[in-house]
Amino acid sequence: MNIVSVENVVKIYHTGMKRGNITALNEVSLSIDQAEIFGLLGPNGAGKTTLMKVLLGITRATSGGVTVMGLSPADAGSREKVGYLPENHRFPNHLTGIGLLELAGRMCGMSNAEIKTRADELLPLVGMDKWAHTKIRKYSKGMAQRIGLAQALINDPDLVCLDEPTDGVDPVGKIEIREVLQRIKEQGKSVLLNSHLLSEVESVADRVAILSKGRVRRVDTVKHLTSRQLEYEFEAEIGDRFLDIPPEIGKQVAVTANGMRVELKSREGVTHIIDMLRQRRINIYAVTPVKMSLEQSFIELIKDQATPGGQQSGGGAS
Amino acid sequence: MKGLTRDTCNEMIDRKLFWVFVAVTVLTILIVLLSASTVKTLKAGEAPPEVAKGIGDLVDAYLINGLGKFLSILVFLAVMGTAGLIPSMLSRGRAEFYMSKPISRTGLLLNKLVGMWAVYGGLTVVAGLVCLGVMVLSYDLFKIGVLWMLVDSLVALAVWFSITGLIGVISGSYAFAVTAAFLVWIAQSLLPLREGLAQIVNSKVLTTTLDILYYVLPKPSQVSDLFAQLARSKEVADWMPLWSTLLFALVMYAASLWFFRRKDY
Ligand SMILES: Nc1ncnc2c1ncn2[C@@H]1O[C@H](COP(=O)(O)OP(=O)(O)O)[C@@H](O)[C@H]1O
Ligand SMILES: [Mg+2]
Repeated sequence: MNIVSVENVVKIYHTGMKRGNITALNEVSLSIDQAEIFGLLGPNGAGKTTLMKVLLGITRATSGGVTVMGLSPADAGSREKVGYLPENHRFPNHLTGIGLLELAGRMCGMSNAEIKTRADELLPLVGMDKWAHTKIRKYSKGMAQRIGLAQALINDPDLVCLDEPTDGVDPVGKIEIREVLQRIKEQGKSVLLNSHLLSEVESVADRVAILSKGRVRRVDTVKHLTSRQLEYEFEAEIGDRFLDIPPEIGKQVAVTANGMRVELKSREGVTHIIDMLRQRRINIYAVTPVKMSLEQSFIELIKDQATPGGQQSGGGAS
Repeated sequence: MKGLTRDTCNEMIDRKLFWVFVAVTVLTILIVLLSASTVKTLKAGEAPPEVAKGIGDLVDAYLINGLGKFLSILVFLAVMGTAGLIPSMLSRGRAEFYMSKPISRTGLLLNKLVGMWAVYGGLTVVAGLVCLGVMVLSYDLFKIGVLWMLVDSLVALAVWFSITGLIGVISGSYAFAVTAAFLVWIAQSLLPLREGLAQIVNSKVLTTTLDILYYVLPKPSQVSDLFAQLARSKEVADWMPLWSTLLFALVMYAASLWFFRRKDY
């Protein structure tokens, strides 16, 4: 069973006359498996937060099918084993850190003893044990974020939804949060992670959906998204020449600082290029397959969608 | 209560409203003690029986009216102090927290409303009992019926919360919630006087409208009068103000739930 399944979900916000209707989600479909860290990536306003809220029943989809733990979000039971760290949260600030955990725990139907045990585990985990008895209104952004993560985990959820979890957190805290996510995953639980920080998603997520303007542009593993097939960087003394590579082998895409970049039709092309370079007595120092960062891949995908037809990316001179 | 009642309690203490209640209660007790010493000197003057009975009636009325005034101040404070609770719970960044928990929307709002009523009603009743205790001890007279005044404040709180709750859910604004309660309060103070107006203005439409408004809107002041009658162990001639008010509150609560279940946050 999928932990989360989303099918053709549309969400239209009916705002005032001026801005008209906003289609925040447009025919979105995806699913999240057990023990998977699923990243939602997209520029601001892409609909990431909206999708998360739809899953939690905070906002209702205009149309389409959503199930969480096999139940509709309208059913409170679907949230029994779910934790949520909202974006831009303002937790009830009359509470202390531990008070927030107690309230969250009781709302999840936990007993005082259960809450106590769990809080004693979670507070050190998020590095907030020293601040547990301080009012939330005195917390910094990063501290509120850490306690927010703890409250999302209070009921030992099978699915944790985190909306921009490292927002306002210091670099050390970011690494700590990443470790927490890995631990959750090792326990066989799923994580839905929203972030505009691509490097962060890249380092933890198993699969990623790229959203832009309310549409899912691509759902894939991070590995696939970041490896560009059959592009190689040749570190060689080429200068700023363009090589006359036969079209059936491939083409030179660019001249780089240390050599050139080529796009090949097949892997055997590498040997061919090496032969060509050797014939011309050009020294070769290294050949590396080109890997894009998720960021590049993301930007290209978004750019593609922005330009109608969108196929001219990557290729320059030929 | 899924923790929301305790949350409301924490919130009250944090917002120092608790201390306002304490301050008003202490002030009232001081007034009672001060006036009691005056009445005692009157009594000590060996008054003839008929005068003594007059004084007794006076004290009786004083006990009921005084307690009633005190309680209505507390109710006023509680309504003003709580009108912002629901808008605050449903504000951006906080609603998400409450709604992500495994509680249905209906459960969430009902828990919060019941929590508010229990916490602030409880506080009002305790303050009322303390004040009543001081009154009873210093005047040396007690009527069990006086306890109806406490019931009255619980009913009044339920009615006012139904108004601030509904407007709070719909508008998400403290200012609107308080304004709505204030408008209803003005209307319910003026509408019983509508017959006087009908004699001056000769308009069938106007009088009918006012009549409808009168029967539809809640009548907390008249309900208080009704409970004061009960407190004096007198017959209540007309129960209409009570049941029409309760009906109004019920409709308001139902409407709050209806709107809440349909809103996006
Ligand atoms: N409550 C709302 N009312 C109207 N429009 C909204 C609301 N929430 C979000 N939107 C709009 O929906 C779109 C998607 O927003 P959001 O889901 O917050 O994006 P993201 O989290 O990816 O930055 C945006 O255009 C935003 O303006
Ligand atoms: Mg967002």
